[in-house]
Amino acid sequence: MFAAKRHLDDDVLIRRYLADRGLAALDASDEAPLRHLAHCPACEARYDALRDSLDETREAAIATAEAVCTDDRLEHQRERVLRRIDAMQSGAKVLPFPAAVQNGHATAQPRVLRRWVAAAAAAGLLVGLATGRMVFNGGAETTADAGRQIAPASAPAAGRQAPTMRALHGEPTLSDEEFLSEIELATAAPRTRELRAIYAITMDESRSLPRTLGKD
Amino acid sequence: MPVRGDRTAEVPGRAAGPADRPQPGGSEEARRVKAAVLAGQTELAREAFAELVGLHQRQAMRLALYLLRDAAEADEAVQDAFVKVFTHILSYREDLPFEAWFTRILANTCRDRQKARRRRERWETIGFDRDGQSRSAVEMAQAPGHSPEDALLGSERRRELMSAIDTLPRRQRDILLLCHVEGQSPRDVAEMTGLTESTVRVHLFRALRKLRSALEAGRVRR
Repeated sequence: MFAAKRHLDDDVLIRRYLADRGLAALDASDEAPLRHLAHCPACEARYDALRDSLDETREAAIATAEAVCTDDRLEHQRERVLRRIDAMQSGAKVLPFPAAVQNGHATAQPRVLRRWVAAAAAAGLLVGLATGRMVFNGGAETTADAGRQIAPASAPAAGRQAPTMRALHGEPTLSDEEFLSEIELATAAPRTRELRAIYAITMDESRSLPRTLGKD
Repeated sequence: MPVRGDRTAEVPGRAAGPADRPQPGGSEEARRVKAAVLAGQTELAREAFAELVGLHQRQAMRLALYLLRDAAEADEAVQDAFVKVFTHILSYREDLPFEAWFTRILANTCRDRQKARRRRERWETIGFDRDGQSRSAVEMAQAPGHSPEDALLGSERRRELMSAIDTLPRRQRDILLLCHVEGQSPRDVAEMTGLTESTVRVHLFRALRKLRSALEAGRVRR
């Protein structure tokens, strides 16, 4: 079928080479070309050349790789592998992960510190409260005394100044009755400019003033 | 030689062609390591494992070199693969050849490193000396030789041959190096690379055809 004058192409030769190396399987269609190869010196010579060049390439690749794989390198590599395995077997040293530090023994110190800070803050608060109480109590008494001294003198004049907010808040010792009368006095005062219009409409000055003054 | 169909049984010129590389085996040593680990005999396990490493590391190093094309990276990949083997020795199936199991672990390790390298390369614009460019296999090593002249000639010839290999597309080149150079079967290479066996065969055939053309072209130029 394959005449001697029709030579094989490279693909057939490569398939034959791969089959020779056990890397490929030939099928029935390769039978005739391979018969030709067996009887054609030219094709056989080409096949030999192909095989030699591919084998040479293979050997060159192996030699190149082998040049890297020196005995020293391999020995060193084996030692390192065994060292890593020894490290695994002997239980490698576990370094605490940063997240673990917060939960580990490193948390003892901050806890103590935190307690001291809390105690200092509580102590500061108590001292502050006590000091504040002392200061404000003293101030309130003086304000109240002053208020009591001023009020009788100014009340008959019917021209009392309206008590300030400070005075109202600064007299915790006033009774409810006194507090209400202070408000009444303030609203009844004809000099209170803001309330003068309301006063003119709703209240009789002559009636309200004596009642207010009578309570004082 | 594997032949499909009876009619080719008498095809002339066929030679018995097992992959002509030494078969290190190693299954027995692997079994010993596993048994020692199971028995808690640390020293014995270490001893057997050292033997196992010595048996396989040369071929492992070559495989890693072909895949990674960098001696330092190949070295690290082989170490990692051996450590993985020891760590997972209990999952080794003793009815299967150790070499196939180990090669798969090594190939996966190399593949992970390749991926990591490609990721690195995306961020690197300069300094490709080590990783960025696929170096010629010849550049990976100093050429050994008996005399300086031999070394020079040998080195020059190897450079030409390896340059021809470097002209191949990456996948074809890897498969050529694993099958043609290292003698791995297409089935093993298929498992290593995640391709089908027929795809591996096709790539191998195309790689050889292209290599043949490159070698021819080089000869014409000379």
